[in-house]
Amino acid sequence: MRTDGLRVAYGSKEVLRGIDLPIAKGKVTALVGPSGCGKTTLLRTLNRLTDLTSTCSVSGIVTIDGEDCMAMDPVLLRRRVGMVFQKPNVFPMSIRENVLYGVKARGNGKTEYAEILESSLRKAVIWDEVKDRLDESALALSGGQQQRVCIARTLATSPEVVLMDEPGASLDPRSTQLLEESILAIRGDFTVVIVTHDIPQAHRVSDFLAFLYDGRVVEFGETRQLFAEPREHATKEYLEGGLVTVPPVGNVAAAAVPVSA
Amino acid sequence: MSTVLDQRRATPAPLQRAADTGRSGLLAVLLADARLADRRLHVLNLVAAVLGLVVGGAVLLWNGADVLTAPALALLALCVAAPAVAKRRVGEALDRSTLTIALLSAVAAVAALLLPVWLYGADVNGIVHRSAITGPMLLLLSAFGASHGLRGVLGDGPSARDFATYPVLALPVVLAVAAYGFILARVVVSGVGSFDVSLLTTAWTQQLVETSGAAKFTYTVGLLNNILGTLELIALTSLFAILPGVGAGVFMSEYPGLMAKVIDLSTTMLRAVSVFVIGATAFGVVGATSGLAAGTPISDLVRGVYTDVNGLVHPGTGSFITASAFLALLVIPIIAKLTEEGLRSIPRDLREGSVALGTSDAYGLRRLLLPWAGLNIITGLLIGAAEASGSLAVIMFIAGPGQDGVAPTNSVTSLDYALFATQYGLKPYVDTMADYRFATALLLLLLTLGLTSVAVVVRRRVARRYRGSLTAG
Ligand SMILES: Nc1ncnc2c1ncn2[C@@H]1O[C@H](COP(=O)(O)OP(=O)(O)O)[C@@H](O)[C@H]1O
Ligand SMILES: [Mg+2]
Repeated sequence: MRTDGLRVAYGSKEVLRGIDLPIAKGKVTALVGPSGCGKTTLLRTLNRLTDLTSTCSVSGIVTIDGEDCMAMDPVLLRRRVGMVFQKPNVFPMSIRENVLYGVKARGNGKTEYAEILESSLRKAVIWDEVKDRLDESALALSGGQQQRVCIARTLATSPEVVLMDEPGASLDPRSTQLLEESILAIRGDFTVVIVTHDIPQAHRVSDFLAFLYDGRVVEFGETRQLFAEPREHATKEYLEGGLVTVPPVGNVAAAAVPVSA
Repeated sequence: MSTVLDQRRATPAPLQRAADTGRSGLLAVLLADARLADRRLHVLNLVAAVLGLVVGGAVLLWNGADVLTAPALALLALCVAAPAVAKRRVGEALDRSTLTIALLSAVAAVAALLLPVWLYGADVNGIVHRSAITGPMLLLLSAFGASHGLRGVLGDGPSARDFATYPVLALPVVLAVAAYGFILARVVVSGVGSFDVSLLTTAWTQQLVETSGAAKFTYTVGLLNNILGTLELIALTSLFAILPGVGAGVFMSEYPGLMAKVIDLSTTMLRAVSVFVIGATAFGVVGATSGLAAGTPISDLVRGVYTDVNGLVHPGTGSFITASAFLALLVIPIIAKLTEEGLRSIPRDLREGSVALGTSDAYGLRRLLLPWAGLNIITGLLIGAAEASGSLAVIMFIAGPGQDGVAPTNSVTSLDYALFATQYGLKPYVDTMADYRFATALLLLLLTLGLTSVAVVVRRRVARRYRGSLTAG
């Protein structure tokens, strides 16, 4: 997947100001940056959840395997690009029904259900915890377990890309650890784009890292490289302390450019 | 210092003061010291208020009690004012609510004396009309008086204040519950008295019997068809209403636009249309097919069929299908509104979760949204069914005794029609069924109660199934 010159605005407020981002197949790409810099908006553009927001306008190019995402049937795009949300949002139904929700929508053969159920729950590192209670309500699970069911639910539909928006934001350390295990387990089979505020986590799980600031990618590269020798001062500051005291020069200038430019 | 205290203890202050002012007796003692007086006077206040409540209740039930209204009000005025006066004597400020209640009570006492002469004349009729005004007036003021008294007795803390508002809140509820209780008791007592098991198993029919050359009608008395008819109306109405109701709700919530607005407006207007208008329209529709003979599909569908005493089949005055179709008009807006509310209550992140899994809107609606709103839809259906079973006005234009049974294309009949027919003297029904009026009412009551119980059970089941063990949303 990749974006070229991606611009997104809510009404007249431009939130993404030209994003060029390659997303490597089978790798984990982490998006970091201060709150409000546009990380969630970027993720939602990748599977066109932005279509649901009537004020949201998107321009620029987003492609998956060279195909134009904006020209596709959005439902078909979302089958290839799944999403895990910041807050666990399991459906009010059994664990089994949750995991098979997307699968059943595609009319796959019933014979595969049991297999898909188990394999996706295993990949989400929650199989052992729920295998004896698959028909209980998913709402009875803890927040951490619910989030992993959400991951399993997304994996079950075997998308090519899995988007994760701060999936660990509302979880305890143990759950976060299991979550990371899950991400490492699926690396290779799925392309993962993860937004996180947890910088050590980004370091641990990602292959590539993009630092966003005020609607732009300030720096993008291999994670190891960015942590070792960031080109921008702001990146270094953010990765070390999570704060940016001196805004990146290029972006301040860019921010002054009118929206229409 | 200590000697002064000792001295005080030796002679209780109020008595001391009462002695000083040269008064004697309880009132003097009470009035003499606000601190002691307060509590006792507040108790007095409370007693007067309770007395007022009792007298007020009595006035509503029995006109003779009316003579007590004015004295009860006067007593209330005095007793509410007393603690305030006592406080004033020791220099504390008068509180406004006390004065308001006392003054209103005093005015009401005078009004209660003058009302019959001024408004109605002093005769018996005047008193009858008057107690309908003075009774509630006394009750209301006594409730406020009781609240005031409670506050005085309990002290002026926030919780005491909360507790003291109780009488004011409780009074209207008690009155309403008493009214329900009265009606219920009357229906149950009279209904059980006139009940006969054979009413349940026999349908009302008439036969023409020839006795010594003269033809004479005889009747079989029963409510079987009416009971089945009511159940059938409820079932058919629900059947007719569910799809349009849910569909309209889905439109209003999921597909905003012109269509949704039109539906919203028309369902709202449908709610505002009097049931009599709907009934009259049904009558008109039935009338429009009056040229058609029995056996014509349209006629059978709309008018139903009716067999006379000679065994001849005629077009009826309206079939179960017609009645249910028009009753459905009442139920559709209820289901639509509740469906819409249910759908709107779905958290945004669940909707997005469904969309993000690459599912179509139709799939989300079927698997997530409608089950979520299911509780609301079922509630709407049950409320609607209760409403339909009580909307006699719609079917009374077209219903009949229904001695032919309850096939959907038969002439319509129901329990509430039986009630209506006996109450308004429709022949020949009234001659045969008048004695069973309350039994009919009782059956209708039990049926509604049954429906409601089913509603409660279903709601629980559905709630458990869809909302899981957590109460989400
Ligand atoms: N639906 C919306 N309507 C208007 N503005 C929005 C909407 N969603 C997000 N924004 C704005 O877009 C900017 C970027 O938001 P977001 O993408 O959520 O940032 P991040 O996820 O990095 O915190 C913020 O300024 C936010 O206020
Ligand atoms: Mg965000």
